[in-house]
Amino acid sequence: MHYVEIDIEEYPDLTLQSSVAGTPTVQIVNLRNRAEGEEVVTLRGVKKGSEYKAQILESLDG
Amino acid sequence: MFSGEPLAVVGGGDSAAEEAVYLTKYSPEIHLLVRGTSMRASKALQDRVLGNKKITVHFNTQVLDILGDDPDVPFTKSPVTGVKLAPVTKGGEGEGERELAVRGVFYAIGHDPNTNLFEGFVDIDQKGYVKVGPGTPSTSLEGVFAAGDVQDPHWRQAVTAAGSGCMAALAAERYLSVRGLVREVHQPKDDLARTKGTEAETAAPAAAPVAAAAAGASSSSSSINSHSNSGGVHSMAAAAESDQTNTYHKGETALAELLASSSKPILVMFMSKTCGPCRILKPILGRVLKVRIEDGVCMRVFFHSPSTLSFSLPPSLALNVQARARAAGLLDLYFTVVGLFTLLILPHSPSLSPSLPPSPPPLRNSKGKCTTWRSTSRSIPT
Repeated sequence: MHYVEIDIEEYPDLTLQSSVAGTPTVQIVNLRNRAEGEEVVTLRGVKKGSEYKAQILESLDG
Repeated sequence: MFSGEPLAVVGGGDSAAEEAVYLTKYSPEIHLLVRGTSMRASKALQDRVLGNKKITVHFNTQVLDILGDDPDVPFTKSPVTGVKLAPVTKGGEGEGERELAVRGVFYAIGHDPNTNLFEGFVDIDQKGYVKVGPGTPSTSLEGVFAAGDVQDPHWRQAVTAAGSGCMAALAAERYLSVRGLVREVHQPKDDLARTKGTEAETAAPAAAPVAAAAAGASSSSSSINSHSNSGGVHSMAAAAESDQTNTYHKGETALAELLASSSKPILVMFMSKTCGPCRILKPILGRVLKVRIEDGVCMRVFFHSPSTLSFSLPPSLALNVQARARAAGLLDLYFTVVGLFTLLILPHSPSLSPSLPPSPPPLRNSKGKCTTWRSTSRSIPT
């Protein structure tokens, strides 16, 4: 698992491209099937730790 | 979404003035809509608002409607297209009504303390604040203590809320121990043994890591300097370890490289330095990732700070730091208490959210052994 932090003020273009409309937004990018394109899960706002954990586990195992 | 767009702020108090001035960072055109013929904000804040060329103040103005009906507006654009305004002192129906083109409307019209759920249990004053004894967090009900903005009609600052949270936590602790209701929780014996063991290990090889640390400091500090503003920490990480461990990165360059090369999932956290909720979320993510680490998955943490030295910790010492952090669990309780009470009110400014300390980054590589931990001196808990 890689963790990348993007400051939306430093990278406004990337933020727009990623359809991020507010902070904090967490996106989990799954690169397992690269040929079929990236699978992106978006979690907006602050959620419970368990929700992030579930998504992370899914991206690692699924 | 709002950057560069015309915006409106409703209200005439301190928080409205502050909000308007704050928003000029993002927008060149701010309209402050004040119902009265003058502002209630302090003179100093009024001067800052009136003297700011980006802010237009509209007195004697009330908001009738917020306009914007386009259902197909893209997600990254604000659906708001304007506000419908009218003078407060009305002549005939519809007289003086006008529309103002803005892409966002921000309310700063004061707040009510969110104390309804305590009504009937503890005494609440007319304005809705929980009544406390002068200078104490004690409420009318024995054993119930109030902290933060629910009991503070005057100061309402993050720092005063944090202070009163500490008072309430200590008062609650004292209340319980006086009545013999405290159950002390000791560290499990296994943990203690492990800590002792690691201490002994630390003593023996101490000399070597220190030397390594010195070498690491000189080389890594120079590489930090050379990349300081370009997410260069990533390149350092890549150079240091080519196998796929969990990593911490910053910036678009790092993300692009990972997207191109990694087969592992990437968690991208979009944040902003001025965003209070981001500071709350970071330790949550830290805890989540730590769960994976305890499952045996590795995480390497590279903190990025050009101004401070990097150094390596021997693995056993790093574990020790973790153990100590666990012992400092009381601090967590304290922040939870403060967080709770601060969340009970509607925060209008980002400064109301308490800034939580980031959890100490643990580390262990895929072979189950700890690897080097590069960190700034500031992030080591003491």
